[in-house]
Amino acid sequence: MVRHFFGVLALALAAQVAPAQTSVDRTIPLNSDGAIRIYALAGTVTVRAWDRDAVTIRGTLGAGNRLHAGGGRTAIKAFVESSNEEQPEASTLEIMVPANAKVWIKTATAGIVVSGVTGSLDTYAVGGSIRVTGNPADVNAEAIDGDIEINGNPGWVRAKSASGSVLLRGSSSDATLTSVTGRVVIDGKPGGPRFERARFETVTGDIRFTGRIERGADIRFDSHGGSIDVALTRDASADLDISTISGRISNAFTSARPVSGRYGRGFALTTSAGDGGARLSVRTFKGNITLRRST
Amino acid sequence: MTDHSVDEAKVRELLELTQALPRESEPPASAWEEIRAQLTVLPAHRLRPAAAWQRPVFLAAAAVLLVAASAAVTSVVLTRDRMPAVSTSVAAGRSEQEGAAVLAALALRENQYLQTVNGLIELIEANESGLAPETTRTIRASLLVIDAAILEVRQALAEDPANAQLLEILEANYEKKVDLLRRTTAMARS
Repeated sequence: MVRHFFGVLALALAAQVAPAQTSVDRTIPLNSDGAIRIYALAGTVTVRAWDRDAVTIRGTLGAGNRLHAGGGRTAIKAFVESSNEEQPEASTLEIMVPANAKVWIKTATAGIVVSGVTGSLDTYAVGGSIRVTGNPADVNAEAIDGDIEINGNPGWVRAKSASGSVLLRGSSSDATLTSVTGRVVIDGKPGGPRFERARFETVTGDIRFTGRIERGADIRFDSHGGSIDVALTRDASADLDISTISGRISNAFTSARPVSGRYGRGFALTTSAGDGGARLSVRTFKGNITLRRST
Repeated sequence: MTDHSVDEAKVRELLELTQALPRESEPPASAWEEIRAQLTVLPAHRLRPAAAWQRPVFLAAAAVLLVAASAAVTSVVLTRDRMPAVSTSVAAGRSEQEGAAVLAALALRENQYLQTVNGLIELIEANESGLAPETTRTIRASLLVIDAAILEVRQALAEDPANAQLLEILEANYEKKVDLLRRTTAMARS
């Protein structure tokens, strides 16, 4: 009974002593092509584009957190300072930015969500995930633990994770997607640009590609132990160079059959589709490779 | 630049000559007695600086040999695909030479990668407080995965040293390791 009483008392005191969450709502003018840098440790950072020449930051700051934001019409910096950087309280920020702005975001564990930005986008999440929707001119997305998901057709994209998966639902003329143990999935939607220059790499994660490739494209797939599944459209014109040291090759795209590897190890397959032209290279050490037509 | 200035015929001739050399050679019988005599004459503190192989002239000669060997090895590796067809016996001999050349080139490249990797690991360790413990665990786990992949390819290369494709895969795995460490360093710093 006494223990219960002191427990209730402690909770009541803590509620009085603990700093409360605070709301923020700030607007700062920024040119339509201005730059904004956002830094937050924990929580969520959501960035949405609009057609106004200003940045608005709304949301809730975790207990003990403070928002610092300022700058001129060409560049703004906004960061959340935490009183305890070792274990920061989560803040939830929703930031409206000019669509054509150059956006830079970095977080520790906070997840990053961006939509509608058509300028350039640089995102770093050490332990959080990154989700981008829209067609930015260029996207650089880097994570360590977290997954990266891009829905759209960025003109240029670099997306890298260590243990997380990397997913591109869309296409890009210049793409590099990599993960160490996570999966790399490219789900090219009809109507987007064709892949012209692309690298898809993992160490043990699987790679799955469905998409259209430009005539004269240079596309490379590389995995040590992950399987690679490449599905090309019926109209693809490409010269394919496929090899594996100890995996298997399955080809349902052309009539060619794999042969022994060049150095007497593994398998290799050299084949062409259509008039050729695009160079497509697929290589694994021990992962299986499948080549097929996309449905 | 140096690689392209090496004459291919001379490199091959050099490799043939070195293969003809005995694997080991005994010093003259009197050599040890002379060395012993020198050792008893010289005070202990002068032993190290007086070591013959450490003298500047020997070091300079060793450096020249190392550079020449590196250039030769690299040249052999780079020009391997362009070499004209030769008879089977010569080809077999060449295959062994290529294997040795690939392994030698590998040793040089690995040394460069290891230096880069060690430098980056030191930077990460210096900034480790900037990373959450779970992130550090993820990075370590990812590095272990890459190291296991590197080990697998090295084992395959040891069995099949003339396989340039394996060398490419090994190099790609090192690149992935360096890339991960570079990204981690950049994230840990800021």
